[in-house]
Amino acid sequence: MQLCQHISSTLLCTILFTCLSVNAKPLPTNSSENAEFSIVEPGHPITFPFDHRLHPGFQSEWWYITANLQDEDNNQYGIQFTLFSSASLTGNTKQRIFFAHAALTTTDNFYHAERYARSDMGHAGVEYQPWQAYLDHWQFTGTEQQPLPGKLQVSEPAFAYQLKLSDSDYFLQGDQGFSPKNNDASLASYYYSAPFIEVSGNIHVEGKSIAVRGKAWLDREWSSNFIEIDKIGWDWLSLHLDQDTALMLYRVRSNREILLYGRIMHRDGRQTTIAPTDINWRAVASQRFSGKDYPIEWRLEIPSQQITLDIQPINNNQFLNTRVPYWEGAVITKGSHEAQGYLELFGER
Amino acid sequence: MLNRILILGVTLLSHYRRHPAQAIFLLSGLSLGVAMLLTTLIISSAARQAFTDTQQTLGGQAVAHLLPKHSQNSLPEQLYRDLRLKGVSHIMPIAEGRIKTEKGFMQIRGLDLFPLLNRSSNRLPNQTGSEPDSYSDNDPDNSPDNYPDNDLNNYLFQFSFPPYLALVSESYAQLQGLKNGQQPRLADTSTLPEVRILKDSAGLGYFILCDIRCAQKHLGLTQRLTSILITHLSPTDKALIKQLSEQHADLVMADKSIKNPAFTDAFLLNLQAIGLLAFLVGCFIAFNAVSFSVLQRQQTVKQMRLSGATANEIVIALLFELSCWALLASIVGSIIAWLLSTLLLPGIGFTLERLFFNENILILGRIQDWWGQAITLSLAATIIATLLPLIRLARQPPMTSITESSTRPYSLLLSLTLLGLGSIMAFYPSLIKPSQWSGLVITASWFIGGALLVPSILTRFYQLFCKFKGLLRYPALHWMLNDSRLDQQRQGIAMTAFCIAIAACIAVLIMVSSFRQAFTDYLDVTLPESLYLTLDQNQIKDIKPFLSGHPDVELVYPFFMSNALINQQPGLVRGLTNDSQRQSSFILEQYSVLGIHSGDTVSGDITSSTKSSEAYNELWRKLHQRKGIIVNQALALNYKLKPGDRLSIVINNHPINTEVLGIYFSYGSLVDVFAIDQQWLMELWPQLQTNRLGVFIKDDSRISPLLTELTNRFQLNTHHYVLPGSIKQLALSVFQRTFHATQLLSVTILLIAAIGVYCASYTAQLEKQIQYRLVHILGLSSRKIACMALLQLFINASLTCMLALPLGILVAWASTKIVLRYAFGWYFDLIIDPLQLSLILFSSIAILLAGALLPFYLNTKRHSAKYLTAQG
Amino acid sequence: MITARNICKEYCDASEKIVIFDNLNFTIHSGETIALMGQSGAGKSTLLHLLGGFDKPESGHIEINSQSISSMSDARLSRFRRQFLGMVFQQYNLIPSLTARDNISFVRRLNGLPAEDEFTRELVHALQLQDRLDHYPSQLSGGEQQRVAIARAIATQPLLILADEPTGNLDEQTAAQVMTMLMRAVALQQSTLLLVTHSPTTASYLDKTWRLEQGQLLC
Repeated sequence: MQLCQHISSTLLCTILFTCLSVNAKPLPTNSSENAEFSIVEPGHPITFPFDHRLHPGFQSEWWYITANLQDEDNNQYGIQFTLFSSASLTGNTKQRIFFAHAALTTTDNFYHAERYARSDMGHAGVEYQPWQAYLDHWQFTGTEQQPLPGKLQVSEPAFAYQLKLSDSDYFLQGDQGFSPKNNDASLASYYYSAPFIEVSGNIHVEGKSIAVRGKAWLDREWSSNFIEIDKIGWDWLSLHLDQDTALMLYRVRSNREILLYGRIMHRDGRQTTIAPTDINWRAVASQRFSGKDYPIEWRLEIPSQQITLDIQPINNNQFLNTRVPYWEGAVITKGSHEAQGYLELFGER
Repeated sequence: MLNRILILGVTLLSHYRRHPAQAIFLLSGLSLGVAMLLTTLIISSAARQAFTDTQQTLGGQAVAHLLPKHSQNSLPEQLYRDLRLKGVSHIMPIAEGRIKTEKGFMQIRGLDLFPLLNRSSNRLPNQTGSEPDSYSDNDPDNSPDNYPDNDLNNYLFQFSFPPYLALVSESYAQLQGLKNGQQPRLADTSTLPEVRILKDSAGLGYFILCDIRCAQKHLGLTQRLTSILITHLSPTDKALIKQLSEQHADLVMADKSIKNPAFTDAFLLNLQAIGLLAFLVGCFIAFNAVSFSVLQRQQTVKQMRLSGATANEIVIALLFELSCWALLASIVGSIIAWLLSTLLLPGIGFTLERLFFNENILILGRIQDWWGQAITLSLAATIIATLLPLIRLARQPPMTSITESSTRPYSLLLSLTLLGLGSIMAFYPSLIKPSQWSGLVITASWFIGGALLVPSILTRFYQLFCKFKGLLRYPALHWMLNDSRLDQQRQGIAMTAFCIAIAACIAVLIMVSSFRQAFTDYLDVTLPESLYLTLDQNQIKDIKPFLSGHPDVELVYPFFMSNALINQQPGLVRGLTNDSQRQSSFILEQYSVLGIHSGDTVSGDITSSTKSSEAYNELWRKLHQRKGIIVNQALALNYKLKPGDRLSIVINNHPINTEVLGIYFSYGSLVDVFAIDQQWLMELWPQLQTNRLGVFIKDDSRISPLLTELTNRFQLNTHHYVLPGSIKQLALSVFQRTFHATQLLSVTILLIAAIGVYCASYTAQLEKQIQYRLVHILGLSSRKIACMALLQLFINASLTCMLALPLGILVAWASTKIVLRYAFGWYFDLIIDPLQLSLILFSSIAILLAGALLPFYLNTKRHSAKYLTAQG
Repeated sequence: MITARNICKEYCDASEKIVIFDNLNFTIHSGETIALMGQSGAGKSTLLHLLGGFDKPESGHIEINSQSISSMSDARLSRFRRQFLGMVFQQYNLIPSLTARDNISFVRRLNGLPAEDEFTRELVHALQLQDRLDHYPSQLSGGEQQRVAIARAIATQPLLILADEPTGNLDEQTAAQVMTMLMRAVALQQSTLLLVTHSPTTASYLDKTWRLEQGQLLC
């Protein structure tokens, strides 16, 4: 047995469940309980480079990169890198930790890893002069105060990648970045994306070092009031429809309602919000992971955009069996467009 | 046939309904014997498991540690950050130390929990090895139901951030008197976080576990660590670690930091020997009880045989009885063993942790895990105690009675042979090379040989006295002595057990006393100073002059001790300043001899003339003229050195070949240490900086005020000073705890043996009821008969004690001078306290007599008439 | 010399009381030799035990040589027994750890008398034990053991000898020898002898025969 397995299976569980007996302060579920953290409200547009930084007043935040890559032989790969920041409140003091997920998929295999660090030990954080987001040796390094253009490097025993990311325009989701997650907008986040990133670099997997190129997508969100724990799930889809067009959809499920949101973004800066009534996005096939069904194949119809797509993963088994598990993987489409992108499936449905 | 056997078995067992005392003695003997041995087996198993599991627990699992370099007390936290940022993942920051509470001291260990959550995919099967902390399909941790998913952060936060939690194992909480929810108060009036007690099976050791920031705060280690634990060391990681840590830390592989499993073996062997002893004594008690029941059931068995039951049927029926006893004894024995183990385990575990650096809590496991062992032991005990008498009973011809066996179970010849063998091996080492095993053989030979002498000695004593014509004038005494002479075959067994138990008790007492004295001397010698200070260079510049001029301070000097290679093996070097006061404080006076006692074949003869002050001065002078070094006893024994021999050593990569000027006692310490002139050491090792001061204070009562003054004036905290007095107290308390279990067990054995003697005497009395009635009828009063019975018991016990005393001393001598010496290099003098030994002997006899008084007297008051008509 | 007045003796079983004697009265004069006969369970041995002081009657009074043994303490009774009584049992009851010589002299020595004197030598001779004195009981035959028992009983020159079926375990010839020697020894000392027996042949050696029937003595 190894330290962490042992610790995880006995001591850590014991610690955690021991801590359970101490009155726990639950995560805030709605805005009225979040007096100590900053609340996401409309009317605070996102500005750059300021909002590339960590927002310490908010409870949760992430820097999310996904990429669809091909090698010289047109073999498909997908990579994911996400750095999360999560805070809790004790008295008047906010305590923050960082955790990161990294994944690499081939058409046959899927590799992933997760890392954790507290903010005050100095081996995880987000800095802005110059810009970098890091946890241990997983590093996303930007240029000056911007994340893009940047470099992304992750190294694990089973997989590694070193990628160069080109610059991209940033698109503010929702209303100037105010992105509601329910119909009355009491749950919301600040949200922007950079969908048109060109990627080149190397991946290391299965004993080989492979040169790859492709497209990447950066998502940034921060909030203190965007989900209700235990009662929430969402599906998120990003697609590079073609060289100059990107599509992002998400459907948020709470115990009361479902919110569907769609956005078309163009390289020239135009963007269009799609009416939810125009979106027909339904699951076609599911697969079971850890006792839950995850719909990994979908059909998408957006008549107003002449989009009719059958969406399939390049590898069914892109399930991140992390402490908080979810399915996230590279997808390709057939139909009106031969697109590539990423699909994320989380939570209850 | 089965029906017949059942009838026979039930009939034979019904005997105990009429004689419940025999059943009780029999069951008690078996159960106690099983219980004692099982207890020691449980404890040993828990201890061995704890050592085996060392790899699996926090801190114990490390393959290596990064420890502060010799001149530093701690590591910069930046080192940890740099390592992580460079990709060295399998490391953990540790801040650990002692904190002073209102009641004493506690060990606190702080770590950062979050990296423990890291996980990564396995390599593919065609790649070498698999990394630790990996996902697997069957990993139960992979099930999301194991974690309170979105609440995960909250609970980690409670441990990791203020107000924190302090986690303690059940055993450590018990030792420290901690309760759930308590916030222990420290000596500086601050409090520790709220205590949460975890089950021992969680894997904590003997310390309080808390978040690293919490530990750093209480230990005064802001942005500092006491070590970095490394759980996996790939070649890449190793190279990175060495590169980044060169300035601050030493990479120490974990196998160097696990201390002497041989010590644990010795400790556990000690326990098991005692357990085995108790087992045999328990068997003796049972043997006595069943022998008497055999005698009483002769008629029953005769009638059975006359009625047509075959010998084999009776044997089977008796085997059925044997099985019943075994089953009962296993149940009762298991329960007693469980209770004893629960009582003893925390103390023993703590002892192992303090002495042998095993961090694992000793875990008791489940009682049903020991059921198999209990049954086996119980069967063994029952067979040993009952098989022979029961088979004799079954196989007796119908028309004769069982006579006392003409074959003495204990042969005088065997006894003398064993004693002789042991003596030859002990006193003629040239014939058989001394070693741990030869020592054990000697000890066992003397033990068993001496004990087997008991019946012979008793018989001969009575035979001798019976020959006195003058005795005829005291007919009651004459009768008693003659009766005792014939009775020794039966009494001899119990008395042998009693002798073994007393001798074992005496041996343990002597060894513990001697060890305690040696240990105390060792502590006094190793920690002669009143105070140690660990400071940085700036603090030393301020504090040393302050202390030098302080009226309470007798002497203050820089304290040098560091690693060195001695003939390519790791050792320690001490630097001695050429200071007349330092000279007088040094071991020269306190260590009694420059060399090892005369008679030791390793060192040759060192005479008392070397104790003269001229010899000491000469030694000191030569030492500081760099004409040689002084080595400790452990080193001398290891390399078979005498004063005048030459020794190759390497200090800081400088090899020197130098003379051994003298050898000082290490009182059993196994660490090779040599002392060298301070200036010479500095020349060889310029970068060696001392940050320690040793301080002698004139009056021990002034230590506390001086410390307060230092603390206030120079802002020192608990990390800066060490009080040897406290260490000595702690060490002695650990010592006490270590041997408390041993002594408790040996006293228990003595009690069991006393019970055995009592049982044997009581059953013998019951057997002699007819005779007692007869002499009562012939004119001896009941009181006199009771007195004679007690006198017989007293004489038997006294003679046994007189034999047990030299036997115990011999066994202690053999164990100390041979077993411990050749097994571990320990060497210390035997301390024999006549008062203590007398107390044991007199107490044993007194308790025996006191217990026998009333029952013996009541026995003699039984109605005479009934026994006259008893069939012979 | 022996007077028994209104002796009542009973034994309690689990469910009932068994009356052995009910107001038994008798007198035995000094020097008399009396055979006590009766059916099994009549109480012959019980009567002997009462006279020997190692059993007590429920009520009544026993005097031996003007000393009331009913009210004596254990110590006094012990002293009385060793000074004035001699007992011979059916099972011999010799002390196994003592030789024949020591068995014979045991009670003498308890009384502070020398182990041997002219009387004991004569006694030993009369019982033909001179060659067996240094043997232990386990080394003697039944007859020899009984003769040693007799010698022990008489060695202290007791006033009263109580014998409970002394020939019960012996064959006819040995029984005859033992009885002859016993009577010879009794005659030597002129002791009173009360002997329990089933055998009319044995009873014929004695002066009188009493029968114990239904708790009453028929003299």
